[in-house]
Amino acid sequence: MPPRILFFAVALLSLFAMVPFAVIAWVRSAPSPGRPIHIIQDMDFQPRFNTQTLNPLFQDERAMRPQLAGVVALGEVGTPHFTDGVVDGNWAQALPSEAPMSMDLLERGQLRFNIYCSACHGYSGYGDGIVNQRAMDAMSNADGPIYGTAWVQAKSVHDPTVRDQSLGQIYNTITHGIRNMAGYAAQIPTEDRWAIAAYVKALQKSQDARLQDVPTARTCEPEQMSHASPTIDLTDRNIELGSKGATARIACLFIGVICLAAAFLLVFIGQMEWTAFWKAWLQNWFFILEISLGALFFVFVQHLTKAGWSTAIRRPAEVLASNLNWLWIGFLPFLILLLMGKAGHIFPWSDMEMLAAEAPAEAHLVEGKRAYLNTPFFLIRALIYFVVWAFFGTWFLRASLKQGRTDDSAPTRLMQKMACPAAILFGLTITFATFDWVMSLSPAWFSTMFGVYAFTGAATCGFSVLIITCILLQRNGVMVNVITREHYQDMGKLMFGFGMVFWAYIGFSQYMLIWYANIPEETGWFLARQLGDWGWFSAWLLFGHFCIPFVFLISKHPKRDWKTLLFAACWLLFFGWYDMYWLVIPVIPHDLGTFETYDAAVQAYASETTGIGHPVNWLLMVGMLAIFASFTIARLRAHPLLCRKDPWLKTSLDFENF
Amino acid sequence: MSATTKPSSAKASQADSPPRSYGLIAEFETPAQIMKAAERVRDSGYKWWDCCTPFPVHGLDKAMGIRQTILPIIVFFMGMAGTCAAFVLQSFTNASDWTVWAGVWVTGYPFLISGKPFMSLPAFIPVMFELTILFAALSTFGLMFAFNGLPQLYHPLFRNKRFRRATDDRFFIVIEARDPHYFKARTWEFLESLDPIAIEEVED
Ligand code: HEC
Repeated sequence: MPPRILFFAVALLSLFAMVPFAVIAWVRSAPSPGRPIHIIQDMDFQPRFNTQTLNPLFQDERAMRPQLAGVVALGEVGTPHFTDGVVDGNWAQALPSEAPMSMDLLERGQLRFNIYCSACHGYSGYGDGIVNQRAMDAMSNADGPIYGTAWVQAKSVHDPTVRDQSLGQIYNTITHGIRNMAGYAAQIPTEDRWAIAAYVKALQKSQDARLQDVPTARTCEPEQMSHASPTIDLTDRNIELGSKGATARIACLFIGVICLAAAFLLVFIGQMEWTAFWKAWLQNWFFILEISLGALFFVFVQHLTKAGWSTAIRRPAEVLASNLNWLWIGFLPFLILLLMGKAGHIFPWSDMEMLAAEAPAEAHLVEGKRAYLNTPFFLIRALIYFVVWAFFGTWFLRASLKQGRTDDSAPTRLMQKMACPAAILFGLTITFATFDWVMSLSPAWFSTMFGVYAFTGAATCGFSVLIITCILLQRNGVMVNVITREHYQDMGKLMFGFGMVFWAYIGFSQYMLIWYANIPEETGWFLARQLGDWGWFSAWLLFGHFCIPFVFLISKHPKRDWKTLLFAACWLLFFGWYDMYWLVIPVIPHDLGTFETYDAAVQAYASETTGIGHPVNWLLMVGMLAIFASFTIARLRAHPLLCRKDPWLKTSLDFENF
Repeated sequence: MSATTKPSSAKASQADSPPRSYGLIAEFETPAQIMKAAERVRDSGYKWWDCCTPFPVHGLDKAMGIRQTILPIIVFFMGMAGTCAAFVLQSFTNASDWTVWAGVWVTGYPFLISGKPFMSLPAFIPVMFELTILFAALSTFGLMFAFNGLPQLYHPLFRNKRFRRATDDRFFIVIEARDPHYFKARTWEFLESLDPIAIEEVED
């Protein structure tokens, strides 16, 4: 411990050290006749005369000198033609002799026009420059214009009132401005203003020319230009189903009802347990739901990224997604079962007494989750999901239909804005919905990645059904040349990327973390999927959902050919269904935790079967798919299959992969 | 003295001989024109020729009759090689006790990690995945350069004044002198028949 006096000494010295700074600060700010202390000199002090000061050099001693009488600024003398654009009291029709016509002049004019005028008038003079675009955005703000209220658009120079103006008048507009436009005499030298005026005339000509105006050496035959795209038929004949599909719709409905009825019948005559039946129902219904959710994802992602290529195939996706407004019906059986308290064998958490009796250890774990896993909250959440999905599913279809009826691009812009909340709510709802309806089938188990896994499943099912729909439409003679192999290739890429590779990535990540940590209550879920026949079933899932289609689809050629792509889409759709079966159906045996070794557990359940061959599973799948198809066809018939006035349509029709 | 002033004959011939021709370029104004011209050049059997355009022209590949590149196939197998390399590497180092010569003598070291089998595939997969990507990406990158003859710091065309507009608004067809069908007069005539706005010879 140093002597106390040292502290005081240091403190005192520090205080003294500040004195010089304080003095400087004081001297710099206090008024004084002397020059303030100036640490950095800059150019503050230099010999010069300030305004309004004395200069003894001149007789009147004024430092500010008046102009001599009769002085004209350099370069401002000229004929009235040159300076004012006037000849004999009329607007000049030709260029003044000071600025003769030449290619250089026009090029100079173009350069200057692009610099000074294009910001408002646009490069081609239609008044659609960047300033106008910004203003339009600000004006179309939902809560009214942002800055001020009025906007005068820069006038199109192709407007007839401007087109017929003479050179001199346009020169005059540039020099002195007009109404809301300021003059440019101060910024642009006279020659350049003439150059701009000449260029404006050329620009006007370029937008109002006939074939005769083009020098013959420069013309080319019309068919020479048409190499790029064959003419695309955008009439109703090609983009409306019209009378097509009526029988298919009825047939699908018929098949659907028959299959569902047959499935019920099989259960009634005792071919299957009711619990098993409702699980199969859940599996198939969720599978259908995933199709629509995948389509919804497709739709809003296109808006989120302002994608142009996909406009030609967006309507089918919108229609698929719009089914979300009735798919909630498939949930009603569970609502009733839960309200009657009879869902204990499907959702074990809904009947804690039974769970406690059958598996006290699991009940103990689930007890801690009761705040989330209880019937009222479960139903409220389900309601939220359905409302969100039904809203977005139909909203995008309606907005797109609205866009189809108007030339104004406002609906598209609104859809692009709406895509953000849609993405966020979609992510949350699909995550929690799968937590609720699939993960909670084994309530003690949990995986935070489960929602993403279900999302990839939705991508698998949604994209493959979208591809199948597009191909079927074209097979029926509509959308010919509208949907091209370029679109198929990109849809194939999406299916490949999201529905397959990303699925495998997420599925493996989920598996590996649990495998590595090796905690019994987590591994049980996977163990149940490796016992008996389930082992083979899981292996098939890996190969069928990933390895085989990966090799099949990795090249671009199978994605560009509709036959191979159709095959791949059907294959993946089937494995999307298979994946749901794998998720929903297996039951984790309660005694798994008591086995000493993995081998012992596998031995004990060696005869476990998957039951996938049971006809009820297949009847439910076909039945639900058929009913879904029937509703989809009905909606496809009710609307045009293409948003004809979408601002991106041309981009999409011309789209090519490189 | 006379010996030193006399230039060596080899040098003289190099300096005096006219510069070798690289080929002929024809200039076009529109994509449509070069498209038609390219089809003609393709059909007339030239092999060493190319189109230079300021932007990608859709369909030009087809008009030129360019074959599919085999790069994707090589990349696929390089990726697979990466998968295998990662598998071999990991199973050797983690699950074998072999000693092999790889520059130095190295010995595998079976290492028990959290009670998993030595040979446990799930743990290997992340590395296999990464090496697949790495091999595929590197071979794409390297082979793309190699196939295109890059890096190439100089090209005879760069010296041509007209050719500069290939990055702006003009479209060029270049027929190289090394083409077996190339005879200057005949090729010139042929190019003329394509109706370009200019034809020039480019020196090597
Ligand atoms: C800051 C934006 C802006 C710039 C830059 C601008 N203008 Fe304008 N211009 C306008 C607006 C706004 C009008 C319409 C004025 C009105 O109707 O009140 C207009 C009108 C015109 C007209 C039509 C006059 C008529 O008789 O109706 C011409 C011609 C014109 N501008 C030419 C030019 C040229 C040439 C330049 C470049 C030197 C230029 N403008 C630069 C905003 C601009």
